Amino acid sequence: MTGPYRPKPKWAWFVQRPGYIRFMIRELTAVFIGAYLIFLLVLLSKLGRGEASFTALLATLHNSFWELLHVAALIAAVWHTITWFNATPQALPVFIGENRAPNVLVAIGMGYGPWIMVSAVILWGVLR
Amino acid sequence: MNQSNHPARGPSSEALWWALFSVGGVMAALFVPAIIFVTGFLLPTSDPDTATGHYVRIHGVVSWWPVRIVLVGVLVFSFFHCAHRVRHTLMDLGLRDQEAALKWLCYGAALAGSVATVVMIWRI
Repeated sequence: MTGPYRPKPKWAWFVQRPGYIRFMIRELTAVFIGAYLIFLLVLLSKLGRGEASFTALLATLHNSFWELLHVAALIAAVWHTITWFNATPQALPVFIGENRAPNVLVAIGMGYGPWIMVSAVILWGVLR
Repeated sequence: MNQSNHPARGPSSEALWWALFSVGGVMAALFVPAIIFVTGFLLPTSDPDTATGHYVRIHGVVSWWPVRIVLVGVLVFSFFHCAHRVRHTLMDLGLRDQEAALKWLCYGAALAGSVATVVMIWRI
């Protein structure tokens, strides 16, 4: 018996505790976001190919199947945003003088505030 | 090749992967929900005239060079963010022995996605 200790977890270890399950759900958002970004690449390539390609894609997307996939991706992306900005005050604590700024203020100032502004600019750019 | 369980300590690439993960996490958090909303619920249409209007609008927006730079940044960093999370999740799910292969697979896929991003946005 030599060598370092190599634990061999059964892959389903995370079902043991609700916290582990929440961790795994958070990690899973990356799969949805990655898959969506690949779709976004396809959309951008159609945009580069011209009007006919792009409008054909918009017609293909106009059904409940694609809408449902977007709903799933949106839920995952929003969950990523929420978990990311809630963790930001832990990762980047802000000090005002000697005192640590409240987590809520840091999350809003460095996360949720910019998120709302960026989202508004994107929607304005598309809808104006 | 060092095949022992105690690899010699050398320069590690981990700091780079964690930095890309962090920047990508911010990019994805800030930009991706609104982009999903646009492509999922604002753009899709079966009406040809509306679709043409959307094409002109989106083509105009994405043709502006600052938007292109931001889009490349969002996609490239988010790809590496996702790759890092997927790699670590797969390691946590029991593939710790396959660390080297997972690195190549995940970051290789992110790199391929990044190259494709630059090409696709260049062509618009």
